[in-house]
Amino acid sequence: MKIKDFVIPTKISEAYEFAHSLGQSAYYIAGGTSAYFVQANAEKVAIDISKLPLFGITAKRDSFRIGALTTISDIMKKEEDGFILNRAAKKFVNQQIRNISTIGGNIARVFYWSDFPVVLKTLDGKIKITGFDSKILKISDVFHNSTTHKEAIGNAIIEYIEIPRLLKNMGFSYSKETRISSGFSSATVASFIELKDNKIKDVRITIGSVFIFPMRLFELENSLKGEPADFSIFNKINFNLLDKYKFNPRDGMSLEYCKHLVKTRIKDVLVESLKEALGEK
Amino acid sequence: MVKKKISFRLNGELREFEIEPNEKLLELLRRIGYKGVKYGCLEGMCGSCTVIMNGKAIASCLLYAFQADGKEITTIEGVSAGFADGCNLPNEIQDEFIKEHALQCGYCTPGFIMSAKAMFDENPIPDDETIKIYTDGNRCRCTGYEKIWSALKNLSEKHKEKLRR
Ligand SMILES: Cc1cc2nc3c(=O)[nH]c(=O)nc-3n(C[C@H](O)[C@H](O)[C@H](O)COP(=O)(O)OP(=O)(O)OC[C@H]3O[C@@H](n4cnc5c(N)ncnc54)[C@H](O)[C@@H]3O)c2cc1C
Repeated sequence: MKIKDFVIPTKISEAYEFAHSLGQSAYYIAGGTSAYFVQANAEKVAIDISKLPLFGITAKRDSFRIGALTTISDIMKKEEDGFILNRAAKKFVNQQIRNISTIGGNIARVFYWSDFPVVLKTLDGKIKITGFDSKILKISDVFHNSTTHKEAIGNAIIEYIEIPRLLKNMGFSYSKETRISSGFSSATVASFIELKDNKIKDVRITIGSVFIFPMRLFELENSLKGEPADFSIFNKINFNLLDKYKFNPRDGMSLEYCKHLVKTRIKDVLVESLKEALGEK
Repeated sequence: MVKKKISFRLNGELREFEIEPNEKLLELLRRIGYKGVKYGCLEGMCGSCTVIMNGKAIASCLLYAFQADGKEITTIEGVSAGFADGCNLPNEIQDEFIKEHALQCGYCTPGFIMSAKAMFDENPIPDDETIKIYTDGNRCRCTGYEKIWSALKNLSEKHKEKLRR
């Protein structure tokens, strides 16, 4: 990407107006770490949004609000009961990039290896997006697929996301496979489990990297709902339910290996989530 | 291409620069003589271009120069322990690297020192895990990591000792 000019707005409305008037040639820069992946010959006007007031993590009773410009390293360092985004932040490529990359940048443009779309799709919650108007949407609606994502965000600005606090009887786990020591994952899997009366009340599983856009496995989830909170149920998972999906194996993996890896990791994250929900962690 | 002016504090001194919008911070710093900031992979993976921006280690090859506007940037040239006989004096991290033989060709060393400096400024007594996290973006292809980690552990121990006294 070639930056032919830049502006540094200090208000959200000003930033959006720039983007609106520049159209296709506008490019928001938060941390700027994804510019490397934009077509080399694309000429853009950078709108540096790093001075907008969108920083920080605010704890509420049942949720956390995270400003879009909060860096991955600030998320990694945040330790508080029920805050779980730090688990994914720890797996994010390296310190120099964690220090500049923002969560807003990570979810505004979804690469196959992006960590947080997989995590957020699993946790669900809310996202505030501002163009000429502001709207607060459900994360699961925005991240349903690449089309809903594109339509919801367009060239508007993500202000914050709000995710639920993990409470007693709930568990979450995130697994990221990388072939080399880098950020580009070959398979990512996240799961969330909520228990009630020693049964699985809710379960969510999202897979990333092996698909173009992260995918929730609704049928597999439904097959586990209502089952007893017992680790043995994971031995009976019907993995044939995955057959209908078109996997994109990365890093030289065969399709067979890729599917095997995903199945193994699904079991791993479910076991970890259940352990946490049962208070065994 | 239009040239534009930005300003930031570089090694403690407020300066103004004329830049091209597409120029990376790494390119600007080297253009104005800060050659301790090294060219490496140019994709944020090797750490040889590491500088400190507002207290955090960052990859200057990924950042556009304009992103430094209004910020505070420190390069390896700005972290010496003083100046004597025409030379910069090594700081405590550099001293430990020398004692521990934590470098051979030295190309990655400025980057490691900057990552370590950001870490010690934030936490003077990092544990082993913290040391590994704060240096996980720096690659060394001749010395390996053990001696580098030992140097940083030694310094952490010294800081601990000092605080105890
Ligand atoms: C070497 C390398 C390794 C990487 N490893 C990982 C990894 O391990 N995991 C991972 O997930 N990603 C990784 N990435 C990709 C990238 O670093 C992340 O996606 C990062 O979170 C992007 O954040 P940013 O602030 O730098 O975004 P930017 O590059 O500034 O922006 C990204 C996109 O989002 C838009 N945007 C940014 N902020 C907003 C906002 N608030 N509202 C609306 N639009 C916005 C921008 O216009 C742009 O299209 C890696 C990148 C590199 C270069």
